[in-house]
Amino acid sequence: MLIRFLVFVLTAATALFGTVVWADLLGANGITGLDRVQIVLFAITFSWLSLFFWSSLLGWIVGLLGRKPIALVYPPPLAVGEAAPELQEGKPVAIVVPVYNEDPAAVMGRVAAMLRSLRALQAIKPFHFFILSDTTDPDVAVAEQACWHALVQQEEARDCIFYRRRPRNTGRKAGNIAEFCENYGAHYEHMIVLDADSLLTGPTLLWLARAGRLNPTAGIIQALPTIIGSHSFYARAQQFAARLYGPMLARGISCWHQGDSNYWGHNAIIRVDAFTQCCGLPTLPGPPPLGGHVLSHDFVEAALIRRGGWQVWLVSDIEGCFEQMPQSLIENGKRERRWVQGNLQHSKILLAAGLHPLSRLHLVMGILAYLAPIFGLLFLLVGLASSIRANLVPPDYFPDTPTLFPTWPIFDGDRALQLLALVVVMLTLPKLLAALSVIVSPTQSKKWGGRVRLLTGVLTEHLFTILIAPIMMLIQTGFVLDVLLGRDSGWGAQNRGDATTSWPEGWQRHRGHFIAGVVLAGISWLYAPSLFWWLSPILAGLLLAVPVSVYSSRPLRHKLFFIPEELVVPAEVSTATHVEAELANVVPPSDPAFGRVAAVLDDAQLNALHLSLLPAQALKHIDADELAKARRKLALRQSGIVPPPVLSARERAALLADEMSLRYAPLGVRPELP
Amino acid sequence: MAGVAGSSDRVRGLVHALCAYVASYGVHDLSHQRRIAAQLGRLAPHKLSVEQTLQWLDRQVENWAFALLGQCLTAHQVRAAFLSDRRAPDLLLQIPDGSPAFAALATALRQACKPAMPPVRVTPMPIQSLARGRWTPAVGADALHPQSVGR
Repeated sequence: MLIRFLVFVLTAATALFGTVVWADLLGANGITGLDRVQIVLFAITFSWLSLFFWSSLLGWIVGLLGRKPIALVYPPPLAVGEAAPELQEGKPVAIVVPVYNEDPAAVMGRVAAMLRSLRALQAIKPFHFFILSDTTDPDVAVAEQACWHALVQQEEARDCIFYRRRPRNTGRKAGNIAEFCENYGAHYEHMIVLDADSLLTGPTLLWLARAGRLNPTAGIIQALPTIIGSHSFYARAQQFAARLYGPMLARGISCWHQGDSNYWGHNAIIRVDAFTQCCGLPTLPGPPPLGGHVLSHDFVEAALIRRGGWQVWLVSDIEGCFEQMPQSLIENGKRERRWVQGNLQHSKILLAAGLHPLSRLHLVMGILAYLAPIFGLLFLLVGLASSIRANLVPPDYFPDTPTLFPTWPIFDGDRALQLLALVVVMLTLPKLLAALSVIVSPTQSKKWGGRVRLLTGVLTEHLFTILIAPIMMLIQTGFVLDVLLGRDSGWGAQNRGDATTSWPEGWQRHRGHFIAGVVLAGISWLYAPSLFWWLSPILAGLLLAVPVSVYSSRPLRHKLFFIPEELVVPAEVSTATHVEAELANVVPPSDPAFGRVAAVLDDAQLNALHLSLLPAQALKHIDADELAKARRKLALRQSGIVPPPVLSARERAALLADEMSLRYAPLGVRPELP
Repeated sequence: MAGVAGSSDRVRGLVHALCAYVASYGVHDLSHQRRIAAQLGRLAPHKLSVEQTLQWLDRQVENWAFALLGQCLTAHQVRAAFLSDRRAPDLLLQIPDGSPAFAALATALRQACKPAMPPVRVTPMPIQSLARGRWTPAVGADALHPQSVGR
């Protein structure tokens, strides 16, 4: 509590100091309306920056002292081959992997890697894996089932890798997990929630399960994920930054959050009864984008669990917890679009009764994360307007008050530079401290590819961040306006694979940013030349938006942005890649007319597998017209017509849900349809 | 003549379907397929269409699986289990030869017939209210759930 108080006081004091200095600078010649707006925007953004600065600094100090940042009871280390005493009794732990139109071979490859890692520790017995599919693409659904079946056969894991697919993805990911908890949660005391791209090592899974048991007051224990598997310049830069600076910041915020922390939706262990009691999410009033199903459910679930009297912890110091990220600026933008909408939805939840003050702060920070770019843009535009006004309107040297001397415009350049220096320090010091922590240790430096490579990475990442910051500012501003104008983001599947941006796509997506750069450069050059050079980093980012986006999406061939997981690749990562390649071979080929539904019609094994997994009510959610069309086309196919008619995606989905059409299809028997 | 021809078409169609049905359980040897298909043809009630015959067989398979394993399974699940466990079709062929194969088949099927999900045990999730209301005082908000602290 004392540390939390200290962080808030330091943040408030820093923000107040910066704002007062800024107000003094602007008010030297009298304060205008534009100045007032600028001061408010500065105060908000500077407070934001201060909180992150002090959190990072706290994380660095705690790391330097070698202290455990949180009061959570950590499981004691186990001897080699020793069974975890906490898991000897009680219910097993569910490891749930929600999937939505993902690459099934890759998902199952990661599940296989986690399973093998647990088996190597002789600790698989208390764990059950669940592939919870919300896949809507019929071709992906068939591939998923084939891969799951091959995996359980190969690993002899029918007892511990389960699979189910919902006929309709009601409530999206939150609804997927809720359905699991409602129907199967009673079998489990804890569940470890993963994302489709999550990969945890056996020791980490075991650690989380033991920590869950040892801390009965904990509703959620969130682990800090490390980004791996990036190959483009953009993703590798983000991966490097997250790996180098992320743990320090996470250590700091976990230290002042303690048991009132937040949940990021995956790579966390959750107490099932707490979740079931507290996390039934309502549909928000009003139409999307701000109403409807809660998109960013994680923050809300953490707030509700905390409201229910359970603690939420962030653990920043365990390793072996991995995830992936989009490979290009554009793909990342698609993900951000959903997050923007989800976080702005939280404005409807912010004032909900009974929430812990820190839970409200998490929600505010989530909202501010996406409003900050707008504030930044407004700050920039208001600053530009003030500067233009100062240039166009001549100063009033002889105001109405009688005076012997003219009133000269005052600008305290030294103080302005001091404030700028403070901002630069607050932005760069945490990064430098994180880098320094590695550089001073020869062993640590070696893990990062050596001191020279590390420093090159730090410098390049910093320059790259400066370059893409204005692009992200405009992208996020666009997204926020999109949401405020009532446009829904939908729920598209993520492209986690290769996503190189072509020049036409880059131009299409970033031409607005380029034009904004040209306009901003022109106006500042003509009407506020003194500001032009100050704006040059922003102008450079906008003018180079297209090439930056295109080139940064391309694979990085040399080993810049090296992280320790690339020097010693975790065994689980290699296993996942290997099994993924094997499982890719069992995915049935896609027929030009019927897609992978053809395999279910023709292959007896896939047919029996699919029908054995088909829920009894599958047809309930299918449109009768689509089904009728699909059945007609199936009859034409079975009559041997060449070429067979092409099934649309909706017709494929209808056919996959229709037991009557499928059941004797591999036997060549045409169904007697009603 | 037309009636005879129609009847012969039906029989040919039925034989073909029964062979395919046997094959769908993983029995790939043609002579075995024909032998079992002939047995099934004799067992099945007459005057059923091909599809009705297959549905009748499915019911028999489901009853047989229930008698063997003591659990309700659909014919699709049994078929999927047969195709999952490579030993099962061979064991199926040995059933007439004696009970040890039958027991082995039960063991093989029991393993392969494990459901894709555990049994459903419904625990309703009450929908939470997110309506605006009283703000929790910062001190009182730190209270923990009685269950979480073992009270």
